[in-house]
Amino acid sequence: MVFWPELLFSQDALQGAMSDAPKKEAPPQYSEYGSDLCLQCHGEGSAFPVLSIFKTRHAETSDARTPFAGLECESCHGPGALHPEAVMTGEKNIGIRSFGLGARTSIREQNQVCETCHKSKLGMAWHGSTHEREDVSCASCHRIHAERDPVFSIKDQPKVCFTCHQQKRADSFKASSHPIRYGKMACTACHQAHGSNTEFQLIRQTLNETCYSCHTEKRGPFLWEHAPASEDCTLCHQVHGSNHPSLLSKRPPFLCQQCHSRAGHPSVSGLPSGLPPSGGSALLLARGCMNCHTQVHGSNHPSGARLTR
Amino acid sequence: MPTARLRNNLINVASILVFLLPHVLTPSSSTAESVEKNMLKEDIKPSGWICELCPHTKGLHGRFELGSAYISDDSFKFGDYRGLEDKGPYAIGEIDLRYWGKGNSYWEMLGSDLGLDSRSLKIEGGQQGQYEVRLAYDLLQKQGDDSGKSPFLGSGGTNMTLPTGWTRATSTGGMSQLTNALRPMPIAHERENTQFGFSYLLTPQLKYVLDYRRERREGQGLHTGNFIIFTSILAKPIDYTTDEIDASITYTNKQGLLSLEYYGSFFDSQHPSITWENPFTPLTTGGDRGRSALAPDNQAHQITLSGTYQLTIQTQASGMLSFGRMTQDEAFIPSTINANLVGPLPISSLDAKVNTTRLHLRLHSRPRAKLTLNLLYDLNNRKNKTARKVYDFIESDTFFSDTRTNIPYSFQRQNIDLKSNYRFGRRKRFSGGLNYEIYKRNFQEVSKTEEKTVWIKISASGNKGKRPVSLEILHADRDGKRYRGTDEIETFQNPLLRKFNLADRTRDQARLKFSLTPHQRLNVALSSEVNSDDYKDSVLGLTGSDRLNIVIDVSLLLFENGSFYTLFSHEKIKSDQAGSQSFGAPDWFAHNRDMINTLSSGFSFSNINGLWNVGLDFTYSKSIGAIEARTLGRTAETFPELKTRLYSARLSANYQINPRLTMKARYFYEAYKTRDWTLDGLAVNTVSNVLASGAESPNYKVSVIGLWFSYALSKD
Repeated sequence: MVFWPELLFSQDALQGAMSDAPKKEAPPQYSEYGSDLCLQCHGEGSAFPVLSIFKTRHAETSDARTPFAGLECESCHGPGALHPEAVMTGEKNIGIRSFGLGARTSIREQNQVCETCHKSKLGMAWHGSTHEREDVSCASCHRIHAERDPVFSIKDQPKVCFTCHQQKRADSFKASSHPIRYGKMACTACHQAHGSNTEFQLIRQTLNETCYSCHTEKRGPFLWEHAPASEDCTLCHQVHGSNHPSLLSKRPPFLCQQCHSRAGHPSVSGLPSGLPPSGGSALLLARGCMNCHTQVHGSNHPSGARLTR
Repeated sequence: MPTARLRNNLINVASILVFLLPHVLTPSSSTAESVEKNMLKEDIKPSGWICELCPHTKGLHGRFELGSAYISDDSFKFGDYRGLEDKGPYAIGEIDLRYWGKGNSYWEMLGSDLGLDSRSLKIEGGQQGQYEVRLAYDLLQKQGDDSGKSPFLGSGGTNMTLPTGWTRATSTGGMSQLTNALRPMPIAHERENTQFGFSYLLTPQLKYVLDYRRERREGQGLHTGNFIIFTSILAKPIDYTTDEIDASITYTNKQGLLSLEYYGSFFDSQHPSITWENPFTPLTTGGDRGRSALAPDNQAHQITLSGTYQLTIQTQASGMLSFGRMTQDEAFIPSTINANLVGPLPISSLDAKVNTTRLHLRLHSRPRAKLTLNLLYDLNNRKNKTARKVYDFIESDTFFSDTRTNIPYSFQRQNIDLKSNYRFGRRKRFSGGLNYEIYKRNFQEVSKTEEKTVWIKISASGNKGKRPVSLEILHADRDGKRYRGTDEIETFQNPLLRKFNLADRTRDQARLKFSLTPHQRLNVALSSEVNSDDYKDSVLGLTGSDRLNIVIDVSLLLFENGSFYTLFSHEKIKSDQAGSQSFGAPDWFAHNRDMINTLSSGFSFSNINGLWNVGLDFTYSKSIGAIEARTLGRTAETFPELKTRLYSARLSANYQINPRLTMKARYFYEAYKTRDWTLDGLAVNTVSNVLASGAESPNYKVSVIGLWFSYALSKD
């Protein structure tokens, strides 16, 4: 709930990080009774309960694409005939394919299993994407057995992402930020975690087009464009959080004076003496340069060349 | 010389890659093959498998939650995004229902914060594996400020007037009626999103998806009304509607996928302009009113064809070609509202057109089990086709200045990128990459920049898949053609200025990650990133910037059902810039520094006596913004610090009354303190030529206490 902003940590991720790993790839021999064998040990209250998967789409048998329409548990975990004996005798090789952080099965093999059915979800950019290159397994983010996979929840997803992207978590607490810590915006509102054809794995074709999805009024095209605004929003804005209003990277006028040193007032130095009580500089106080140049994203006024109209 | 070093590095890495390239198309055995063998070819269910113990869920399941919370204090800022600005009781309502029908039919309903102005509701249903229908509704409150005031009647509307009897003056100090005329000027708006989606699986390989979203935005935003050197802070109306459509057809098979997508976005602003009366003494006849354009209606369309194909089991090729167009043809408002001035328009509306093209080609290969190569080419082209015309420039409804010709900016960005990964030893990996970027722009001071980037990374993982150590180093050099400012681009710009996005730049970056597990229950991780940008030839403008961040993460599994964590992050952002008020060599310098420390800590215990879950989380975030300015020949002066402090604590307890009923209690406290010299001490008439709003920097202390019950429709 928005009342109780979870402080953006995934306790599950911690628990997962601490758990012992299952072991080695399975030999190609399926069990005799399928899931009926698995569930004798993996019921509720067991060390590795799995029953919640029956509340998920993966367990729908009338959909021919799902694991339970096929080889049930062994669709993903591989042939498991030797698994019960291996566990009982305490062998390191537990005889099935395992998933998640600490799993003995290679990340590449884990992901290959998921990709077999979810090729279209992964899209064209998974291979070679940052997460793929960094050996992020599908199960690092997705909880396959959970009734609700947290990564699909707008409120819970940031906790999953912040497990690795910890600086972004700190950014979400800055004075100006997108509504991530309030549970009203997920990381996937802008990013495609499975890779995309855009820098920073963005969901639209360019960075600006991604921003325009929510800030359509800034798209124009305007009669009088402000070149950096049309080119790259991040030239002025720090999108994950900033110490300054409107996610700006600096306070005006210093922000604007990085690019404007026109003769006259744009090149005048702002000094503390311009602040009350000793002064009252229009360049420094209130909205700074934007006290007059209010249309910094562009203007469609015929006399808006200076972005004041 | 860094450039020579970079060149040598590039040659060395390129030589290695050329040597390796012939291996790309040479097949080798891989894990992928064994997965394929194990999974795909034997995916036939044995007849003896009846799944007798499988508790397949049918019927209605889920939970709903109902209760109440009490907010201790009014706070506009606390209500930002939360919709909880007023003191008093609020209803808590959550819903999570799922119905599994006969066969493969289903529907789901997820509702959150139903008693608040930040509520959301999502309903999905269909036949799994055939079609799905989605409906969603979401409300978001953006609370800017409620402490500001304005003398204008109709503030936040399209026509703002001054109270009867208003006496204009040449400064805010002379506005005798100002204090009595002030009335609240809240800055806030609401986003209301409605979505509809439909997916249809025609065959297991062919999928259609259609998503439609409508967003309504209503409220007031900040604007300013300016007359040459006099200006007033105003509230403008926000009354926007955006419709978005995403439609796609995707064909997938084992070899790859092919997708055709359409994206359309339609923005409609209810108000094309605002007008306001000049509270200052007009500088010219007729300069007693001003008019400003608001955001014009606009559209964007895009068609994208993308695909990927598995050339061999080791090599995958993919590509994407996208064409887009952004248009805007809102009727122009007149050049001025001043009846004494004439500014004939060359055309009645802009008929703006920007064509965009994206081309993305990628080859990903694993020629050897230990080696991965990724080669890509990317083109991003923005071609502004808007006609150039000459417009009379009426300076802020006050006087005719001159004529101006619009500048339709275009750019083209091309990237060639190569990344490689080589595994050695049991858990070690060496990665490296090269990137070459060419950026071409028109109507800007530099027509072409080139940037070369080289990076290497070495990482070693511990057992159990953990990667405790990695070090990455990046070096980039950006060089541009001759920097040439002209009056067409910007008049009277100091020729020594270099805009930082066009300037020559050297970038050095390093990232370090390190983690320790001294005990199986304790994990300590440290990550750090350092970035340094040197604008080596910039005399005026941004001359350099540095960023450092360090994150320390400690997690401890106290017991099987209890854990503790602490996370501390430190970030420092520094930059230097120079200016010239004498329109010559640099005569003033500024050093900007932001420092942000965030500490979060907490613990949780679950399943105590099989009945209780409790947790405590605490976050403290402190930001300091320091600016030091120095004019030539004088000592540096320091601005007051910009300070933000956030204290946030949450105590939670869940008690399971019976298998279906859980009681949930929460106590949440948040304190927020800010100091901001742009607002603090700034009254409406502090600045003689700016009629300010007198808004104050936000501060609050708010407690929330809540109790509610969660009822599950089934016991499990």
